[in-house]
Amino acid sequence: MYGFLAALQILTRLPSPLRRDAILADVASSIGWFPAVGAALGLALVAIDTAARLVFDPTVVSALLVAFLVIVTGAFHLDGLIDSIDGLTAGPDSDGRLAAMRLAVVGVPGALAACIILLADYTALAALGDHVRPIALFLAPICGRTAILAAYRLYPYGRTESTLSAHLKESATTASTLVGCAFAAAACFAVAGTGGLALLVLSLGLMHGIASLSLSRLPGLTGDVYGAICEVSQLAVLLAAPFVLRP
Amino acid sequence: MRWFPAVGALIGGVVALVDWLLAPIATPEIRSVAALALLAVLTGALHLDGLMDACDGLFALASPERRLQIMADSRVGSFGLVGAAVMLLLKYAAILALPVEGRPAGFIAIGALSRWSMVYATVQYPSARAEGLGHAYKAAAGRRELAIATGITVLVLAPSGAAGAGALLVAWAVCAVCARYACARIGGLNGDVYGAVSEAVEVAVVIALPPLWRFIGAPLAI
Repeated sequence: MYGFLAALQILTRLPSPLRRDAILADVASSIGWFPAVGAALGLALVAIDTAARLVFDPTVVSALLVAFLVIVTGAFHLDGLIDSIDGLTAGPDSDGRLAAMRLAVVGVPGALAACIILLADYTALAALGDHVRPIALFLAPICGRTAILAAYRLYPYGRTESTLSAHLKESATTASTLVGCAFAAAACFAVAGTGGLALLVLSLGLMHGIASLSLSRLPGLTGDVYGAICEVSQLAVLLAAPFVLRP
Repeated sequence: MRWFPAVGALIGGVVALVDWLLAPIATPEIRSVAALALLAVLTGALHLDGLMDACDGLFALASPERRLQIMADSRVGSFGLVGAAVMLLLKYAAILALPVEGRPAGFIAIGALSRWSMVYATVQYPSARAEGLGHAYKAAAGRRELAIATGITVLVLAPSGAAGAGALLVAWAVCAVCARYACARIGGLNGDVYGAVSEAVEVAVVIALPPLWRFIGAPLAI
């Protein structure tokens, strides 16, 4: 439970579940719990969706869900996506790209990417029919955070400084990764059978694609790239769910 | 400052007129985008700019002084960009969901209430900086201005009846939450925060209106 609270503190802006600032030991114990935080976010999405649809028009509910995910995560992963795109499209060498990712100012490529992702999230949510809606809302955040976990274990880290991501990379052991992935696979299979597993595989496939692209331009992944992986794989699950989860 | 809600109602009226003119030739989606764009253009995106700067500054992990510096920086950061994008998305979806017969009343109500909330925030909460346009308004505004602005707002909302009172309550609650958050983060409000309050109230009211009409009372058809 302690690892779950630590992961909740790192991945969300909920009022400090640990009731103090996170320390290194928290970071180390949190990583295997990332998919569980995804499950908590997924349950919250399903609850908000169910309640809000009693009161508001479905188009408004879809926009509210997009807003909820941005607010509850403090735009953590979306910020990573923006910085990743700004960095990966910068030049001329990997040092220049790593420096560009660090800039607090948003560049044009990053701004466009964020707008497109948000619009795609909204249209994907609006297109979810009643029979797949709760399943997709529950699984999308799980798959997104499982992709982060797997990416920490599988690919090298690109910075030499002692960052949050450097500690998460150190903590992503084979054991914690397997536990997290097993939890995600069990959740996916429990609510959607093989279709759910297919969505998880899809999100891991996208993770590999983004990681490979990043590794062709950087010495390793950075915290920002993990955020981009989360956003893209989460969106992919929302987009693919109606096709994969045919009734 | 007392005339802010009247100006807001006027802006809402222009949007309602264009929306009505577009009705025979445009789909609901296009009418909604047009209204969204018009709301931004008629104010020169003044309040959206404030929202972006306020998001960049208020959500930054930094000291209150540094947050004020970030707000004054004309460049955009991630929080500002994402804040504006989500705000526009919410507003588009909410305008699209406005029922046909309630659209004119809705546009006028959000225009008046969003500007009323700026007057309320200015009068009721301290100023974060002793300079700038926001502080100039703060110095000029008192309870009297707020009373007149509130009176104008109530008049504008009168045709909506009890649902109008509900909308005023929503506007007040959102305004209070935003203002208290800003006070906790930078010790008071500034021009950017007033703009952010206006945007937040506008979107909250346009989201709340259809259920208010459904559960409390329908708007007057125009």
